[in-house]
Amino acid sequence: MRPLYRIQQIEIEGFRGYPKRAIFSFENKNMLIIYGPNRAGKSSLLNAIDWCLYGDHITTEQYTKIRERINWEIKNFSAREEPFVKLVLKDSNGNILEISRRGKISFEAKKNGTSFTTESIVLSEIKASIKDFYAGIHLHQEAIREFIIAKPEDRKDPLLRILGLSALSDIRNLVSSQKMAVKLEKECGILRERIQDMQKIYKENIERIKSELSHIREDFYSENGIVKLCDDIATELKTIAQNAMLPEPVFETYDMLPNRQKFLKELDTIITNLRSAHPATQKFSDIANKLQNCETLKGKIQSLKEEEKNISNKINDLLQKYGDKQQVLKTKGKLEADLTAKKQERNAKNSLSGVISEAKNYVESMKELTKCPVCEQSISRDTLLEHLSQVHNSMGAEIKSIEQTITQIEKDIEKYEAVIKNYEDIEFQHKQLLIKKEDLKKDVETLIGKTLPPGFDLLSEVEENIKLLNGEKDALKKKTDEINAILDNLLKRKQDIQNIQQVLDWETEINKLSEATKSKEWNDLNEIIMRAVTLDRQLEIINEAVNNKITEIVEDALNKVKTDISQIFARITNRSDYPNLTLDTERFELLASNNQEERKAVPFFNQGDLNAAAIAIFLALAKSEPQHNIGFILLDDPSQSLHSDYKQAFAEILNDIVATRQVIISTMDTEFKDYCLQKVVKEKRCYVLSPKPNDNPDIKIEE
Amino acid sequence: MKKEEIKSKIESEIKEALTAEQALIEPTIALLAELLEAHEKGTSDALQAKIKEEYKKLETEFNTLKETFQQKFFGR
Repeated sequence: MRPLYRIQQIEIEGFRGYPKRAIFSFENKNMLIIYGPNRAGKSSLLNAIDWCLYGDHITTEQYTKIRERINWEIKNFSAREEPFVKLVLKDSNGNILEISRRGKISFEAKKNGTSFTTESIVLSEIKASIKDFYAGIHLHQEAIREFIIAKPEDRKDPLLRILGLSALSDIRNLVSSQKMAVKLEKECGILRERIQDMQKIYKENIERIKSELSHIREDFYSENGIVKLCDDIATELKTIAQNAMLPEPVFETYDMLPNRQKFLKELDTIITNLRSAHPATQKFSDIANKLQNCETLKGKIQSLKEEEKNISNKINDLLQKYGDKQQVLKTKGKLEADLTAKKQERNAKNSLSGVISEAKNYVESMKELTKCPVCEQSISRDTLLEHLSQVHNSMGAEIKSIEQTITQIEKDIEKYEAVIKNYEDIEFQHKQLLIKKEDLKKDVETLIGKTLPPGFDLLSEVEENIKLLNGEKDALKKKTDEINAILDNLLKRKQDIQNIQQVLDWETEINKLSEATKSKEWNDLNEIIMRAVTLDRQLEIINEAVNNKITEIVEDALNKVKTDISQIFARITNRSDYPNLTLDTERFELLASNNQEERKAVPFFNQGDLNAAAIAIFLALAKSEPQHNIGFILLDDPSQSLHSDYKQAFAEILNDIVATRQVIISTMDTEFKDYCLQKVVKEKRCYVLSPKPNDNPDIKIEE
Repeated sequence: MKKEEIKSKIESEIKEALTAEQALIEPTIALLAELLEAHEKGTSDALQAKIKEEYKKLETEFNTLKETFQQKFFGR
């Protein structure tokens, strides 16, 4: 057996349960028991060994397969310095390996005094990856549980780790997830489909355009054909301009792209300008403007005539009812004179009535009266009073009648005043109308270009003019229609050229796409795919080779320890019904057996049996020659769930193990600790730890 | 079985599987050695990262070329 490293000393400070510096010396000891209650720093000491070798990787479940390692703190919360651990290892040849780690800051290792700072050199020296370490060197309760409760087919990976073959397990897991070539080939397939789809679309578009342009000969679908069509349009436009005595249009060159695009774009403007500048179009436009003006004037004249008619009707109405304005004024004057006379008559009657009233009052004041006081005629008082009353009443009736007459005359005067006001309004409107009429006459004279005599019928003149202009417009329409048709045709031919150009562009694209899969870029893409195919294939072959050999390798390893597993299990459990335990190398099923039968163990084993089974496999493999150079095993609380008898047997087995391995046990189980101290005959030491708040544990040594 | 022996067995298996693809034998065995060495030197991280990096490199190179190809032939 080659020399394996054992632990000589552990120095620890600021790490988990150790805020201060502590040194554990394991020198020449084959078994170390770290004993104490919960939170005494037992597991911290084992973890310090792990951390010194593998750093912060031990804080994750990914590598350790220990679920409690999620969010796991390395640093002691009350320590001032970064956590520090130093391990001193020694092999049987006397080689000393010192490894020290301080937080994330520094790592240093020395072999026989030669120092190096690369962690991979240490790993090459001990030849154990972290996964192998946590499966085959550090036995944790979670590792036991994982192995026991896993389905048989899932035990392969934990078993490979226990055997120190996690690299093979990793290769299998890695390769199965990669298939790059297929992915890239699919991408190339999409590109190829896209090329075909685009070619198809271009071809369909070309067919559609050609069917729409059935009047275009096939030979025009060429550069020369397009230039010829452009030539024709340019020549025709020049001829039209010459014939119309207009300046010749200036064109962009069109013998090649991209100037031709510019030429075609500018044709729209050139044709629009030529259309509006052509004499026939201009004259037509002039006549159209004049016609519009005539129509406007005609409307105004008709409106004026209507207004004139309204005024005339109003005057006739007044004449019929009241006579002319002079007569109305005269009637009003007469009424005013009557009113004055009547008012005088009324005033006279009122005075007389007052006198009679006073005379009556006087007679009434007289007690006796025999003759009239005015004319002195004999008359009695009563007769005189009666006479005066009659005269007074008669006078009142007359005055009332005169008042009624006055009221009537006043009403009549008001009426005639209103009539006079009407006459005055109409006279004003008539004057305004005459002004408008004069203005319109001037407008018509301007339009027709001659002076019209007074009283000339403006409407007839304008209507006559409209008739003449319409005649001229009709005569010009034929000419302008001809020109417009020619120019519209040129625009259509321009559109044809653009469509032909589009067809040529698409044909170029189709040819370009046909070359795509022969291009350098395409070859380069396929070259990358070939590299991916090669890599995929290499990994696939490696995976297949590993898978094909894995059973053989596992079988080989298990066959070597088969007897040991069964014996260790039998010694720990001392089961009489099924004393033998084997691990089936094909299906990784745990099988319990006796001389008569063999059956699956997990369904009927109790928890203690299952733990004993896992410990038996672990210890049997630990006893065999390892793949690594580590000569110690770490057992974290290994007696959990074990019956008292099992513990004694377990301690006896450990006595065998210490012949080839240094065994470091962390336990709170006093019984198990005592058994270990009793049964293990080789050099041993027990560290008894007692927790102290915010301080290192008390450490006592028991040997 | 020693690690070297295990490696040798896997190599034999690879040679047998690639009888018809002789050119692949040497690089595949070299890749196996590289994978095992990467694993031994560090953790499986290094191993996975190495393969993933190789694939990523191929994919990036492919995508860059694909973009050039599309711009040239599809105009974008």
